[in-house]
Amino acid sequence: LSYDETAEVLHIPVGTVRSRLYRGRRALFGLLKDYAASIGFRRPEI
Amino acid sequence: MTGPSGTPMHYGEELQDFLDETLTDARRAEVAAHLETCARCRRELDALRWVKVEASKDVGEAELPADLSARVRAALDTEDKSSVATTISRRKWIAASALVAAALLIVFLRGHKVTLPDRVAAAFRAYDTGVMPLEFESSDPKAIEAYFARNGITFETRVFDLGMMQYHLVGGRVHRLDDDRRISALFAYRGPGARKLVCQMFQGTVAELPRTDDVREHNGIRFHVYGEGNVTLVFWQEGDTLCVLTSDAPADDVVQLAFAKAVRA
Repeated sequence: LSYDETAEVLHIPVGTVRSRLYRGRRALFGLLKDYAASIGFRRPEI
Repeated sequence: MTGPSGTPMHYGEELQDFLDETLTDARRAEVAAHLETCARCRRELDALRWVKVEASKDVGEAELPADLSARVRAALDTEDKSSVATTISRRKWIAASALVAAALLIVFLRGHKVTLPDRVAAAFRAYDTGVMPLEFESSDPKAIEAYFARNGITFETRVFDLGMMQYHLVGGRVHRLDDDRRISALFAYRGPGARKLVCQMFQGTVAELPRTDDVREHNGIRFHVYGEGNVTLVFWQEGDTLCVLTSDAPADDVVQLAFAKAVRA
């Protein structure tokens, strides 16, 4: 889904979709950075 | 890029827009120019890209908890409200973020089969970071073996004395290894340079292990070696018991410790 389509489905503003996706990706990376490093990702710190 | 006071600025959400190609051409060029000179933003973009690529892999079908969607929505709503409140509860914000991340993680991990080495490495990290404390502190192998016998470990354990190799016993815990409610006798050592070494013994076989190209033989015992980041894991079989040493020490040191203590069943 695009940001616009996601906003429509969830009944939230597009800006909220964008910021939630960003926070979710950052949080997911925070949880998985050890795993990422273990399979070769070399820039684990953000 | 600098802020009004001349301090360095960094792109946050716009890095995601850059990645998702939703910026205008002019804005995209600005971000690209900034990335040339800003290592911090490059690192963040790389991390966001990694998550996007991993999340888009075919993870197969997974059945999610029925209330997951509602819980994620509730956590997000709480987080959004608290972010505009005049007094932001940082603890609540972190809890909400963690729940969202955990939900994403469930989806992610369901598609990546969690292997036995993954679980053992996770236990090591949990101990190493203080998340998972020992239950019984002692430097006496026999006392720790007795603790295991008193606390639900039904198989015979063999807690090693590694003092000659500069690893000193710290204590142990009865650890829940996996979803099958299998329990493990876990005991820990402190080694040279504050290195940590964790041993686990549990009922299992090497047939449960994923394939590894690093299998070594010593005194008629086969040792299965895995690396997970800076952590080395060495598994071997003793009767019905699977043993594993886990440490952030150099890989060959961990292998030598296993060679020294493994016995043929």
